[in-house]
Amino acid sequence: MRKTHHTSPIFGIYLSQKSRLILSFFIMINFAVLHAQNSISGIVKDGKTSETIIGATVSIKGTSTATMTDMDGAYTIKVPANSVIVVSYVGYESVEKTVDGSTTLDFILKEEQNILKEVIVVGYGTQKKANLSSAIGNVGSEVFENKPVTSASQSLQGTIAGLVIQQGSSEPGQGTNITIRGIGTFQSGTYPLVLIDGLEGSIDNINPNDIESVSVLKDASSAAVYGSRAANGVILITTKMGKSGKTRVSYDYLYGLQQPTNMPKYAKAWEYAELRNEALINSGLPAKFTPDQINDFRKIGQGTVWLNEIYRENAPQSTQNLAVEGGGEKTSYHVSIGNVNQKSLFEGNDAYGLKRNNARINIHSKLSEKFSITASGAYNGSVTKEHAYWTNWLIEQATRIPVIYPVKDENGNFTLPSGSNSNGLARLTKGGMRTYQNDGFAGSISAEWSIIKDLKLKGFFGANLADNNNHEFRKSIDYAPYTGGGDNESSVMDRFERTLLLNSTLTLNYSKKIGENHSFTGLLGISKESSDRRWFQARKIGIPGNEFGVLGNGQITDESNTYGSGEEWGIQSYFGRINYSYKDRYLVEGNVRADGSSRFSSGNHWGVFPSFSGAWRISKENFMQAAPYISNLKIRASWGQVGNQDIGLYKYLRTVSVNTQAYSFKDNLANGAYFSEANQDLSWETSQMLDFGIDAGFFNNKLAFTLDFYSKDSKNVLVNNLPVPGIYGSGAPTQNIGAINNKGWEFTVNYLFNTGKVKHSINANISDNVNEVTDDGGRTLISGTDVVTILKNGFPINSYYGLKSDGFFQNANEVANGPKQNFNAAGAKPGDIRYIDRNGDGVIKEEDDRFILGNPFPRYTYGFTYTANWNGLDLSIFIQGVGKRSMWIRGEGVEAFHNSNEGPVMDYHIDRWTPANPNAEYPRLTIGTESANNAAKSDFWIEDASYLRLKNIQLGYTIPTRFTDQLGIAKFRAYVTGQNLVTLTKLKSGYDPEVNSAEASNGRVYPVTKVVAIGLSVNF
Amino acid sequence: MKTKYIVILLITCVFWGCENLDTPLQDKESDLTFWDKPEDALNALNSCYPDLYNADQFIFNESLSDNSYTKSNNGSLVRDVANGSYDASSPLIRDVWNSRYVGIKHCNILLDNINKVPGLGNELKTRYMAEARAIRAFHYFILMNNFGDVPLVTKEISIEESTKISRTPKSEVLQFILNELDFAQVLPNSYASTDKGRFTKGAAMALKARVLLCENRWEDVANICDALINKQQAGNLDLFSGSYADLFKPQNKNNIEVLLDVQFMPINREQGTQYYLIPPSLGGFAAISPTQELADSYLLSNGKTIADPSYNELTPYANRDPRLDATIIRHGSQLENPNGSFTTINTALGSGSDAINSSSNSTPTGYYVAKFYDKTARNMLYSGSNLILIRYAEVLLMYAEAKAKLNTFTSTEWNLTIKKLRTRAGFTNANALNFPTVSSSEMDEIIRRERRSELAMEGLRIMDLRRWKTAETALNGWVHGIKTNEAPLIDNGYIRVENRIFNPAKNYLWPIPQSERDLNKNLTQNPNW
Repeated sequence: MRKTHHTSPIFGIYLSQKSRLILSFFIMINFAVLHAQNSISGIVKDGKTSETIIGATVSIKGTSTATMTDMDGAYTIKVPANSVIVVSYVGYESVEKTVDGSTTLDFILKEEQNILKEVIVVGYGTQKKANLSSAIGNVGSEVFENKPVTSASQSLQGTIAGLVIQQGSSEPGQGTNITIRGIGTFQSGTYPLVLIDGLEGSIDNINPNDIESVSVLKDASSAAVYGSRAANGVILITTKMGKSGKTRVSYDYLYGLQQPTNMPKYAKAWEYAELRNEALINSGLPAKFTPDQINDFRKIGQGTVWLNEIYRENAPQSTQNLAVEGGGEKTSYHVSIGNVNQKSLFEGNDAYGLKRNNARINIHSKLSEKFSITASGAYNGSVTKEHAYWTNWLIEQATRIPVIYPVKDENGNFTLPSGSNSNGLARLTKGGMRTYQNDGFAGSISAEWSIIKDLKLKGFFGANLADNNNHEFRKSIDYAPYTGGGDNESSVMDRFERTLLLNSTLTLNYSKKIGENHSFTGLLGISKESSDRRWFQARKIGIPGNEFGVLGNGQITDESNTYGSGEEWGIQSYFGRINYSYKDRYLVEGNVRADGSSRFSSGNHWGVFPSFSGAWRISKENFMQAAPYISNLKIRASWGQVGNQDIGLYKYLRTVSVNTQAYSFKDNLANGAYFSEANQDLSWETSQMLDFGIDAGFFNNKLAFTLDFYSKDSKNVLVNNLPVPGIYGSGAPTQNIGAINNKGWEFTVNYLFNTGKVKHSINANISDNVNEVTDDGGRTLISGTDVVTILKNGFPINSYYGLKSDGFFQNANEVANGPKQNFNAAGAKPGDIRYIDRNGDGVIKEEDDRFILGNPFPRYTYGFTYTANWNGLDLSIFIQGVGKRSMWIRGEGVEAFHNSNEGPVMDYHIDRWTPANPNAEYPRLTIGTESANNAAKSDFWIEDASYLRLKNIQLGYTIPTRFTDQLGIAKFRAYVTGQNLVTLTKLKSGYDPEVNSAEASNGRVYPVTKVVAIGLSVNF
Repeated sequence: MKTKYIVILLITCVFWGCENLDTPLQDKESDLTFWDKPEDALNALNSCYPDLYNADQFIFNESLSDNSYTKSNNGSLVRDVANGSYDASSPLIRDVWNSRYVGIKHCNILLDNINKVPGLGNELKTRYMAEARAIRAFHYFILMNNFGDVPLVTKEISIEESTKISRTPKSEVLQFILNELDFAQVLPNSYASTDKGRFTKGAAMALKARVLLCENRWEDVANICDALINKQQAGNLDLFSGSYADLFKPQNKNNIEVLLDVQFMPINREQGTQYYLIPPSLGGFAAISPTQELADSYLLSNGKTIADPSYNELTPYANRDPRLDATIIRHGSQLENPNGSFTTINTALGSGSDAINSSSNSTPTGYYVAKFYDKTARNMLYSGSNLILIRYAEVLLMYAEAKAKLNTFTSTEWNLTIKKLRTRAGFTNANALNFPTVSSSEMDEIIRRERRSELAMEGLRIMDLRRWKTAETALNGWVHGIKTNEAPLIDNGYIRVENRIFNPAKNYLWPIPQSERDLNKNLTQNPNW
């Protein structure tokens, strides 16, 4: 599957920089040629709105003569007698009229009703949905409109079967976690390739309101044209291009309040004290609180829940968007600006939060019949401000501290609570700030030339420049009158990073219909992509006076945090596609891409990725005329290969890094050389996917469904943390030895119906994916300390691995007769968790008694959207959820008195085992070594994280145009909306069931928020 | 015509910024070009030094013994190994094993390649090799001491080889270590200022004496110590001339007493162990707490033990070996603040935020650690202090112990060793300083106690308990903190901290890590694990 060649086999041309510049000049030249003939004229209008249509194509049937309607929807064309004029426009049904001798001929166009005629974006082109033979999910702009979210990916969640989006944290500026059809790699990148108008970009930085449509290329057939970058799936985002005609202005405003969804609930102060005493006594230690003290705690009730102290009750969020579009006969444009302002839930400083500005201009110009150009430019600038510490540690501390300790004393001074040398609220309030400033410019120019009627050449050049910098000014905190505070040091750090991504593509599109029955389309392309990343960072310690935190004012350079470097990578690609259809019934397609990547050694640069697909449109067969209610029936099958190149750089070389702070000899720094582990033979990860699908539509496609089954085999999967014996002295080099299978199905149903004057629509989707390690490289890998996972043949990647609990020991007799639990020297006691002795040797040992206990991957992910429209009122309800998932949370987030800490005690710890409460939820309370038995890694800590969530609900009213017209307003809509309003979950520990990040395993995650908002949209 | 140009230009567009697929490394070289200059050998050698000891591992080591208790499960769960709740999967055991073999690999990389380096003079090359071989011997000693037989890897090996290699009998590992340390005696006695901290001849000899001490080879130990002390074969070595307490302070790093240490410096290569040692009122967490057993082992200033009637349990710290206060922060200790003022630390029950068990930051024994306290530490927590691995005082103690075992310990040797140490410690009472007339077993006891007091918290206690075979007594049963009298009838009111279990049939050797045996079927396990 791999071929080796070092230079471009197709083109060997290289021109000077000067020549490149001439290109831009040429693109500007309008070389339209006008033909003069005898004329007929008329106006083209929309049948529904009666507005004139600008830019409709007016052609003479059977000839190549054509023109377009102008700004007033008017056309003039020279025609011979008795010819037929055809008027067509995207999204409308074509109309034909025979010239009858009059000099005027008007046309009324009707919008295309049949959703199968829909044109959707595919790799390097578009295709009619009806002619698709591969699995592509698609949504339009309606998904992104008027939702109280800050990024496009949040809006996409639950809308496309097989696209799994998890919001790990709602902290302003944090992205989401996206996977398409499971995970096919052990440690390489799992993020899909996101292309915005053909250029790689970030789904979290784009203004959601700019999006016209999103296509998700799910199977290898549709994605293979992106070759080595497509193994995680491809998301194609197309932005709004604007329509010619009257200038249209739209303005949207939304204002909402965010609140945390789920939060742990704490035991009251006196309950805490009683339980603490109980735990101490159970652990052979003296009780700490006297009955008098406990009585005093009764008076303070709940006490101080530190988690509530570090978060606000609510925080505002707003978005504004202004878009203008319009244009003339030849040129159309869409210009937009957007603004997001999301405050953080963290206390301490009103500045905490995200502000993002987006601006975009898209211009399309038909320079002539044969030549058109499109230029697009977008800016996104976000500023995220937060505390100068680490969110997870602030949450960790706030979770652990018992409710009996106040956050401030009676004099208003921040306390240093027991168990801590800092105070999270003090850090939030007085500890300085960190600012992330990210600026991105993405721009592209493309030119399309119809060489002959069926052959189009398209050149594309795009650049994406991302400038990220962050500035951290950490202030020292004086905890007086308390001593022992650990925040005595001020520091300032700046980090700059710049990434430039360049992409040029040249594609040749050919389409030909031979006779009535055979149609062909073909695509050939070459592409070149390169990335250059530079960064540097500097940190200084000691800012006199704790103010003016800039590097220049720092006293001592922190050498280990002062560095800079850079890296480059490049890919060169050749690709092609061919489609053939016979009578529109039998469709076949083939794709191939050859990619050369700099990430591998010279012998391994190149990889080839082919795919094939075919479909049978049964509904087009004559025999189907007997079933007129079936408006569409198509079966599809596809096979293809795609690769994953997101595997790090220079892994094929044994590199020697010289660390300038390796050691010091009598306070003199000394350089040290460190050798990496290398594998010269490193190559692509390759995924091979088989997909079968059915598309069906009934009753003129008012009811439609799509069902897909797939199996994806990932081979040559990189494994870089293979366990090697310690005596080898370092980690293992990365090797292409793993294999993973992902199997799944996806089901989508759409239903449109009316009851009286009310129009309804239902869109529902559900999908499942199961991954299985099919080759672990010959070695089972057990990893993790808090949460232990296993990578083993026959089981999902990183399955939970631990002991299986078997209730609690009820008495000394049971302990004596049960398997020996020797997590601490003294052994188990009544009330401790009993574990299953898997190998029956009478002793519980992690080595031989652990079970595979599920995994964190979501199954049965679903989305359900219902919309209704009646007399200007509109309602939409969007429910999203996960049918099956388990989540292992460890540490202070779930354990009473985690390890040797004083806290926490949550509400669900109250139902703990005591001799009087043998059927408790929670084992007996213990502290320190005494807890070793119950804190052992077991399924006791694995919870059911399935959920159903009212993701979005929206109720709007559009004022009838008869009122707004007088004000020159085309549309005025006001609405109320809520995001994440209701969540049904069985998670007992009080966290959000969606959390999914490294920090999620200990609960140290900024909560997912619910938002209630009001908004309005005005179109002029 | 135009068409042709446009096609050419569109193609040009694609090759805008034509890239080579062999993108160059921008911040480092590959090993294809390494080893081409003397500096490369030096850089490879320097990277062996940080492996000598991980600061946290060094500091937590003492909590494996009866001198200290760690309440936290930091330090790779040292606590669980100390109390006997461990098996072959224990992280500490795996970490010690792995980190030593990482260090050995760094040494092997240099030793395998140093001959390729052009322009490196013979003398310098021999010195570099001797440094690396001595560091490697240090690693093997720690492995041998903990695990007994261990695989002996003396060159860089492949992963394949690492899954096949079996354990080399301890006697061969021992002989290897001794041979390497003999070779290392080509090293200089001392270095110029910018190289201070490198392995010296004295360090190699003292390490060899320590290795032999663990084998009870008294004659050999006595000979090496004699060569160091009396014959000055490694140059002029002596005790640090200042106070015992100041010996460990950063302003006195690299003093004459230091034979081997792990070097640190402020800001750029700091160690963060102070957080584990100091009281909460200074910003510490007190993860490491000296035990009552250690405090009790210090002599009274009259040279007697606390069994002497002059000892008063109510004023336990009065008239004691001054090293107690230099080593342990106890109730009433004075600690110097960064600005030169002093803070009194109160650890008695209910005496404030530093008091025993007053919070989860405070000590569970009533003691904190004074020995390594660095008032100049950045943010009170990050110190540039060196951690001393071998010092001259230990040479004196090894000499005393060996001579006593050989029954040739006279007042001459006493004055040269124990008296010298006690004088430096600040004893003045003649009863403590003069050569005692006691039985040989009593003399053994005196020397062992001296060793404990002098070297407390420096990580050697567990090695001593193993070689004396006293661990089954010292590491069995409760360790205690100060007398709180919360339960006056239990252990005379001294607070119980942890109940430990030590099984002499298996605990004298650690198990070979399970993770290692899973990958290498040729590795046998130690008895009873």
